[in-house]
Amino acid sequence: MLKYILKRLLQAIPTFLIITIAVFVLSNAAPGSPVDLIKAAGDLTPEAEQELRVQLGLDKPVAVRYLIWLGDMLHGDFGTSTRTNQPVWSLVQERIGPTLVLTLTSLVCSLLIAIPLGIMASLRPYSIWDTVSSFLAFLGASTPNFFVALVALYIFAVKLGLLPSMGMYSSNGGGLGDLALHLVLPVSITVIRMMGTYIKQTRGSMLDVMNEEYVKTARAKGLGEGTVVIKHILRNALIPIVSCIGLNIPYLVGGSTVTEQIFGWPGMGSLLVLSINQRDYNVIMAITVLIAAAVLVVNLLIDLLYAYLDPKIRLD
Amino acid sequence: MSKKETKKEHFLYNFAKHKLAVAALVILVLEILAVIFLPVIMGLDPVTSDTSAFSAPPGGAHPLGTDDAGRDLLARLLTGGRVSMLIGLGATLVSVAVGLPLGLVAGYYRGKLETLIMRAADIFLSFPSLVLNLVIVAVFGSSVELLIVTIGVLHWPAVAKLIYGNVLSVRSREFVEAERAIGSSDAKILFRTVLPNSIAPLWVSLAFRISNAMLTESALSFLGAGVQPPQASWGNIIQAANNLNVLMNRWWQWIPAGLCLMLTIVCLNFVGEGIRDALDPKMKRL
Amino acid sequence: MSEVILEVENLQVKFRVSKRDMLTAIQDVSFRVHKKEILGIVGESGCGKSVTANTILRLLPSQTSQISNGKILFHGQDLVQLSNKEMRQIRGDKISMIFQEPMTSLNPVYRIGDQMVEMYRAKNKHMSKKEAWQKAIHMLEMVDIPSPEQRMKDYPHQLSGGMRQRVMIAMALSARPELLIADEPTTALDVTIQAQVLQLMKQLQEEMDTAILLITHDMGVVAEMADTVMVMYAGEVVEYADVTTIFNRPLHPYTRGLLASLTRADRDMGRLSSIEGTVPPLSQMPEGCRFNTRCPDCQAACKEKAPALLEVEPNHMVRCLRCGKV
Repeated sequence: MLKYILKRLLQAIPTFLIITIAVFVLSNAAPGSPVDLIKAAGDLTPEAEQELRVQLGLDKPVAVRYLIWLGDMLHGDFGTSTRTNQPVWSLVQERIGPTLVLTLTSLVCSLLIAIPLGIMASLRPYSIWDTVSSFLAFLGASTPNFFVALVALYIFAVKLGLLPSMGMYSSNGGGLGDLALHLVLPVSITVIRMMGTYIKQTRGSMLDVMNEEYVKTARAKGLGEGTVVIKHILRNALIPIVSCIGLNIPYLVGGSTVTEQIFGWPGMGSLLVLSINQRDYNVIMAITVLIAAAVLVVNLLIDLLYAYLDPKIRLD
Repeated sequence: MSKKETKKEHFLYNFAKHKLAVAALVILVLEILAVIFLPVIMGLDPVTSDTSAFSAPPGGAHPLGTDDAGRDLLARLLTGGRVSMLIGLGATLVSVAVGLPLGLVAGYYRGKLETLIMRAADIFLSFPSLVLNLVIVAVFGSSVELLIVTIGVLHWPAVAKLIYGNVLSVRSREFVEAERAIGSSDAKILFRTVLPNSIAPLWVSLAFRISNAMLTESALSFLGAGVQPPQASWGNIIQAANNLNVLMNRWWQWIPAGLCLMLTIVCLNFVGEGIRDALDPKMKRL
Repeated sequence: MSEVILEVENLQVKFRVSKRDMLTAIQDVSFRVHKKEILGIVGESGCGKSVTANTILRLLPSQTSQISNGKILFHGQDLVQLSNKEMRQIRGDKISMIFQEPMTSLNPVYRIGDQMVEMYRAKNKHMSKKEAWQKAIHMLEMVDIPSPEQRMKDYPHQLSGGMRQRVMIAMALSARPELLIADEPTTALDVTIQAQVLQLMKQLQEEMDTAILLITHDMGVVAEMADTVMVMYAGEVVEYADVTTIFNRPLHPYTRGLLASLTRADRDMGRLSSIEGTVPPLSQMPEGCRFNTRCPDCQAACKEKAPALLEVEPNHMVRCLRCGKV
């Protein structure tokens, strides 16, 4: 078990470093360094330019600059936003919570819908449950999510006025109920997008496990059908389902960028889009690195859950 | 009749049985013809503003109305469709061009190369590709060519993994062992035997991949990080609806493009299902 | 002979192959099992022996298969007619079953002990977990598993194949069933382990007065274990007699083929080298006698008329047009 966790951790660290290198190289490749900008703004003697470079640390080799940047970042210093002149961390910090609330609620809701549907579909192939779940899966895969989001916004927020259209809280409200109302649309949209994958995975894993001999053993023991399905089939099917959830975390996070943008959700995704349109590189870099770290941490947690579910991994 | 012909006929027969897939294919062909030829035939101009008609509703000179810059929306819908489809197709080709050789090499040669390629694929898959795409666009700006390359490159791991998995199972089969035993060169085994026997799942997935790439492009364009106006794409036409006034009062500025996009994606997915069922009935429904 | 506990009459099972089509997997299968008897059901893979075994406990999936005819009388009570709930009372209690693959017949995510305790508690809801645990340890001792207290806490993948099959036997016998159905119990094991497990089964059978329905493709196992033998081919009983008769006076050409393969070294996994070919798939059954495609003594009549199972001498039944005239 310890070996397994260490192995996973040792895989996650280089992945994280490679992503940070990629982000650093990318943003350094961006045209228009601060020096160029100042140069373009007015006269700059070669001496003054050199002085500016030293001041900004640009005279050092790229590798050293990367290490300095990485070191600063690990200490929580992400630099200054060129858009607002505030420290990046203070901008990003307040966006983390809303994004977590949105993605986690979406994840939990899609699993709560998809897993029971997938189970029903697997127990009764070709039944109404199976038809409904394959229709929902197709719907999720075949609709441009942002268009569906706009249509939903139009119908439920604008025409019917049932739900709030923007943000996380009303300007006057602020309670949990208010938050829940604001969550309905963005979460539903994410659920539609993610559900199909989980339904298909649940149905498929359940059907695979059903053919296992130990399920027959369980029945031959005289156990009730409910016990057989939950304790023996579902419990084993959960292993590939959990792994599928892990694999789809990046997809969940990527999609919530679009959802946040449409519903004016004050999360990291909408800040990222704003920063990209304003070419605010320090913020872009900070968010990208944070997303990478978050995805890796979540995947480590999923690996732990996986090991907990599968004794073969837990005991090796 | 040669074996190859019967196989092809068998495939066509099975595909034809899938009525929805055939209908979807017909719609796609009509769409493609429309976006290629209609703008020329009708002499449509997607870029020039009609200064007498900003945000005009459908009717008269502009059957689908105009956008807030006074550009004809029918023209933009058609040329935008052309761009969206081009990017979907191009990006898929790029992802295959990158992923196919890498998957092939990783599966066939195994060892260090395999570890390296597959670890790289895992790293790519552990990061939201849409976010990376946004960053790349932020840095390099965006053009149709760049979008094709970035969307394509970011999708390579899925292709590589698919091919890799199949090569692994094919390479251990008797006929590959036999070829190796009679001393055929690696290149010959790879291209004459392993590749043809492991490529079928890629064909099956092709329509889904195109639809996926189109969805990525439209999402990027919608976020303002894809195709840049004045050039049109379905995603950036829909972007207009980010404005509450447009969303509420000017349906013609975003609904038609959204419906076209949705129709195309649905059709591509139906065609994909048709191909999958026709090639391998056993894979049906999963 | 002693009391009959299981009597199967004219059993027919159909498999659903598509929305409309059903294929007959076994038909006209009749046999009896007496108290303490070991009945061996023999045949190659695809002959219907496993279907027969699974049908008795009604373990075939109801979506894809159906008992279309016949009775399965257990102490005179027809199992085919029982409700699912009543059937569950019988499973694991009066009749229990072990399977071919000890690797896969135990649930990989639960400890051995948990799986055994679950069995006791399903039968007796009032039994405490502790008591069930103790009983399970005792059962593991009975099947000669060393340090059973430790093994109870092991997961299936930590045990060897032979140990796992012993666990399965312990579990199956924990309620002292009257009938144990053993579906190829030793096929997946090494030869030496195989002998140990068979010996253990025989010993426990004598101690517990259990009858065994032993499904196997191995005539060697039959010779060692069975009192009575039923040979099946393509879903039908082709020969049925006591073990001495089968080995001394086999009448059906298929039985002879099975016996001939016994003397050879190659009797692994349902392949018969002494008879050409394999069992035809259900969808391609020949007209007339189902064995006519492979029979060394096949004649014109065999391709036209399907033979009936006839009693050619007392307690010796054969399904062969030519043997009836012997």
